[in-house]
Amino acid sequence: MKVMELMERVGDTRTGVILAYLKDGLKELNRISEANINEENINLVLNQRFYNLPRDMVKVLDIRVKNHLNTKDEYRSIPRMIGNPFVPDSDNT
Amino acid sequence: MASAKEYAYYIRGNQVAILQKDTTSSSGGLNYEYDPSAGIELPTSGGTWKSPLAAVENGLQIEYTHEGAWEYITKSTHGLYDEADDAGVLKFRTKASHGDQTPLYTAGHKFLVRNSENFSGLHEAVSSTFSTYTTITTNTKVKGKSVAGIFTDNVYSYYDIDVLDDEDSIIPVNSYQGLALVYYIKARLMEDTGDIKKRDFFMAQFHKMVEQDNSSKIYGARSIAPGPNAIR
Repeated sequence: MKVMELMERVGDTRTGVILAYLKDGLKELNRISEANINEENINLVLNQRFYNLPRDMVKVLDIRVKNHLNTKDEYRSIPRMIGNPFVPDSDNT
Repeated sequence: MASAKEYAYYIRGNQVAILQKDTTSSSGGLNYEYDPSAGIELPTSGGTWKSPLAAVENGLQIEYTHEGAWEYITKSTHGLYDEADDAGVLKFRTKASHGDQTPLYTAGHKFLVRNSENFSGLHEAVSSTFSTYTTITTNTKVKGKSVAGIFTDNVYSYYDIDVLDDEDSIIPVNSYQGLALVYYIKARLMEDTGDIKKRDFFMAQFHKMVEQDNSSKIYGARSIAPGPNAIR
């Protein structure tokens, strides 16, 4: 569907407003459903604990790490920790 | 062959914390360490969770739903490096071996950077120049001055994307989800006019259609089998 067709169905000719609400709608759609999925690979750095989540992310579906509980270079889902570990990160950044 | 490791994560704000289990054995196999001068302390190894113990290229993979405001068309074959000038403007540059890439990054051209820890997302080119390597100047502001060349080859750009920015743009969802979005926009427009009753109605329709779309992707009969201890 094109934006033009959507505007005709809505009955509004203000392109800017409709595009802004459409982007909001896509965010909401991707929050409650899974329409647009992407994968991002990030290098793991020695002693670096924190990694930025992608800026366009709406909902995390899975976090996988290479060689987690395997030796075949497979990416496998890693578990989420309850609470923080008692060994702190060296620089906390 | 790579060795098996054990990882876990937790979320801190907009960051994900990756931890690795240190499996090196502690002295005596105890879950504490004793130093006569310092007393009893928690172990520094032997099953404790720490920040990654080794660097792994492309080690972390995050699967997520994104905003959906663009559609990928062509992925670049060139890696990107980042640098910033003194004015705090983000620039990217390609490797010299990839030659002149300026035709792909003309002024106003939007491209999507992927796999960059700090600069993943949509950027707009202001200009691009070629001298040994292609330098792409964007209109993205960056705080401070970053170090050039911190990216590796796994950072790339989708230089050819369909951005949702005019009436001819194609909404990157299926037609049924598109119909649901019509209700969403109607709800927002009613909210603007202060008609909360109609707003609630359209929003309910939106949620109903999204639910029906999800439901329609699951085929076959749906039944709940009785458990092994059910009364027969």
